[in-house]
Amino acid sequence: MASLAAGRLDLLDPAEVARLGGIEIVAQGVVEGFLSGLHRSPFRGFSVEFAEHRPYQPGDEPRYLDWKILGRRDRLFVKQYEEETNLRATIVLDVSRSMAWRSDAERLLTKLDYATRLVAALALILLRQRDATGLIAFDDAVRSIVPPRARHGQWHLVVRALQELHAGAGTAAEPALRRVTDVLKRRGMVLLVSDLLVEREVVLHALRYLRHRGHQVTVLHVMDPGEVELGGPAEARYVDPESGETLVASAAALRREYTATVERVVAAWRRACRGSGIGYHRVTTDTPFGHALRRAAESRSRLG
Amino acid sequence: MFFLSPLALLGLAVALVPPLLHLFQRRHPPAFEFPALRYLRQTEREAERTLKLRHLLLLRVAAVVAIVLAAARPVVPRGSGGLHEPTAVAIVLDNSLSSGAVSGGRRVLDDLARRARETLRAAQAGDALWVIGADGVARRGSREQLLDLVTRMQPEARRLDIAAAALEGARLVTASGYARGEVHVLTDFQATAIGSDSAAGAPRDSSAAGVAVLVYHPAADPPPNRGILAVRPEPALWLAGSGRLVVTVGGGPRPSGSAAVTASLGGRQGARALADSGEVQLEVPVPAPGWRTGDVSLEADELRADDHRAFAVRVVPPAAVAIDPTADPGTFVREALATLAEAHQVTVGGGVLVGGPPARAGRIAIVFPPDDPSQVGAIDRRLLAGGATWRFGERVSGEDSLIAPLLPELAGARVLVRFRLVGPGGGDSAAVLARVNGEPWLVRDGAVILVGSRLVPDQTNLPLLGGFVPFVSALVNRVARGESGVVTARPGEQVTLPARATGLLLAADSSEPVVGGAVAAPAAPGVYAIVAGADTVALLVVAPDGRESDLRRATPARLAAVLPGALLTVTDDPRAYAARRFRGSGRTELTGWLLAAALALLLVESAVATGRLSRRS
Repeated sequence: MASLAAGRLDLLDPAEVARLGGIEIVAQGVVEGFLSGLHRSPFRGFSVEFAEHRPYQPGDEPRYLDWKILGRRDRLFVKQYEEETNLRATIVLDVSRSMAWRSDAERLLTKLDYATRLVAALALILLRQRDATGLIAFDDAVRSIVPPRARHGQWHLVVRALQELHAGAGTAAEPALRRVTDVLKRRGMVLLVSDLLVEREVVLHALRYLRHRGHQVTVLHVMDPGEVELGGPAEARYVDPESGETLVASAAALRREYTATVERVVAAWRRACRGSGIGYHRVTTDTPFGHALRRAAESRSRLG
Repeated sequence: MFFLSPLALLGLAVALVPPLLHLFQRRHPPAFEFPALRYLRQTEREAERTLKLRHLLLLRVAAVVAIVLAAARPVVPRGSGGLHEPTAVAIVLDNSLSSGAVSGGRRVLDDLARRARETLRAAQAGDALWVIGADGVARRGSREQLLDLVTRMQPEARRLDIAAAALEGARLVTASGYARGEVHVLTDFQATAIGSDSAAGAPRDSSAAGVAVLVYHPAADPPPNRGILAVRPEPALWLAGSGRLVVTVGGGPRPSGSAAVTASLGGRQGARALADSGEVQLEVPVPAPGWRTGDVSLEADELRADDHRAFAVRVVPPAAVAIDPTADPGTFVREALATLAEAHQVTVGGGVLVGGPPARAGRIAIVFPPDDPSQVGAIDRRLLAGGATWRFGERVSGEDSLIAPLLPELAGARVLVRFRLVGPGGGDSAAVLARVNGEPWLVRDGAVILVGSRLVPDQTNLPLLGGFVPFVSALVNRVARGESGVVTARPGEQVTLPARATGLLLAADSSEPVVGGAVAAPAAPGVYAIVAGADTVALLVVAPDGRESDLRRATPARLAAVLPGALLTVTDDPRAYAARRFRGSGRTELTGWLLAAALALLLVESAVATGRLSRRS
């Protein structure tokens, strides 16, 4: 614990980090570590104003170096900016039953546990830069809505909503996403956090609609490592927890082909999202929260 | 199915482990919750070819199994031919006289021999083989030896009792010690070939119980046949003048119409008559005295071997007769002899003494009871002194008929008074030629002929009958001279020859010595001389069994009745016979097929695997 406390939580093993406490504590720890590494707002938009200089630290992007100071004083400083306008960010979280799965109970978080902590951290970051942040949770229906606000205490509302969530039923994403589109009247940022075990075209149709409405849309595809690389017994009767469907297959015979299939699926998602101007990132539940946050931030900055 | 190398099957245990494990795991796979099932399902669809690797594994396992089975050398049932378990097989090949018949344009024996050769060719080195022919001899040999034997076999003038032959075959295969035994009877399946007269009433032989008896006979119906069943010279001794042949014609199936029967004697064509069936008499001119041979022939039909038959007859000169001056035979006998002398049927001489017992032993004499009953004792003492074993007994009165099958001249004769003839064994002997009321009336005791009554009207009505003079002629010419000297036998039959015979003349330059007065009749029909030194003492007429002329088929039930307990199969279909021989266990070894299958499996597996790899690359 001491080593965990001493290190940056955003770069540690998520399962280890999760043992430190509840969502709130973990998110705060992660965000602190994450921001201390960045020393700037990770979600800067295209329209920002210069705020201040600070000494360069390894990890800072070279493009933000102030070359004039370097020339005059031979010291490395980076420029920090402040967003000019506030952002309306809505995090859409998939809480379907498949999200409650993990392939290794001792070493991994469930996809939902991982996602809730990640979402809490994201919300905290966004709220700290005074972006209005909200939360919509859904499975086969919308289960929880925290409208986007930038007011004080908003993060605790989000965290409380996250704490009250539990894995639901199947993922009938279409009606839920249609409801989301109805809720998101004003343009802003939409971040979908899901394992995407749904019909791709249905989800893409909704996301394209949001994109058409002027939203900046990013998808965080949460996967368990056991979904990326097929594990389990040599031969097993695989059961889908949502649909109850079964399939007898041999992991030994299919492992290589399965990995290739997953890669094709991920590539298809990425290709389809990019083709529609949607950001897409895949994170596995063994990825440190900081890395996941960085990917989300990269998408935000790239698209913003 | 069985395996020639069953220990190799142990290898199957190793080959079967992977598929058994596979099947076991397929049946009881553990459940595993997995949300990304859609990816897995998609993977399985897309990797369908890859899944065939599992099938390839099965192909490999199948190839290994095929190789292991091939090493075990499996043998499976087959329609005909092929391998079979070691079997003792006795083939009864019916080459009896009837097998020479032509049926359906083909000689019956040729068809039967072909079936025998097929069976022998289907035999294996481990089989025990016998061939039993019409001679009844069971010949054991190798397949090649018996093939050569069967090829050389020809129809013989013998009769084959197929029931007896089948029983003999059953005894052979049962005693061979083989677990499997079969008797194949290849025959024309004559009804008359089943069982023998002597077997009637005998206890049934169960030697064939439990033995497979497979009977094959040609499918074509037997042809109509008429043959000469017997030729009987009548009387047995011919005097100068004329003789008569009684020819018995018969057979079956009965042909339509009649056929000409022709007799030749001494190389000269004799009488001719038409015959359908039954007896026909042919009057034949009598040649000079001596041993004479002849032949009776019938118009040719599909079975030639029974269309002619040899016969022999002894032609004798008239007997030289002398009347015993001490024992008058009576007026009627004297007058009859005088009549015969006038007809040159007898001459006056010392050959045959008529009246009383001879003064010396060995002289031929015809002895009548004395006119004075008190003289019977004296005559009996003279008979005893002459070596006779028969004598006159008490006088018996009472009318009764004479029964004498061999002397037709006595037909209708009745006896009023007679003296009992007392002989060894109570008179029940072959020496008795005529009987009255079941008791001997006419007896030949060596050279002496005893007559039970004086041939006068007071004692018998014979002198008043038309047959009296012929009877007296028969008495002095035939009865007094004893047997005709002609012996008739069937081929191979044991024949008792005259005591003084030393050999049987088979050809001009060879003879078979007689051992113990008996000899086996030659297989070839014909007339053979029985010799004593350089003299011919009798003739042996070898003629086939008349039953061979009846070609009508038997029924399986008839054969089954004489082969109790036998596993009997009767067929006229060569294919059915081939399928059932070796107890229907015609088998073939699958080693070659299994190796070919293993090779094919490996080639398929290799081709699929190579195709998969190349597609991947």
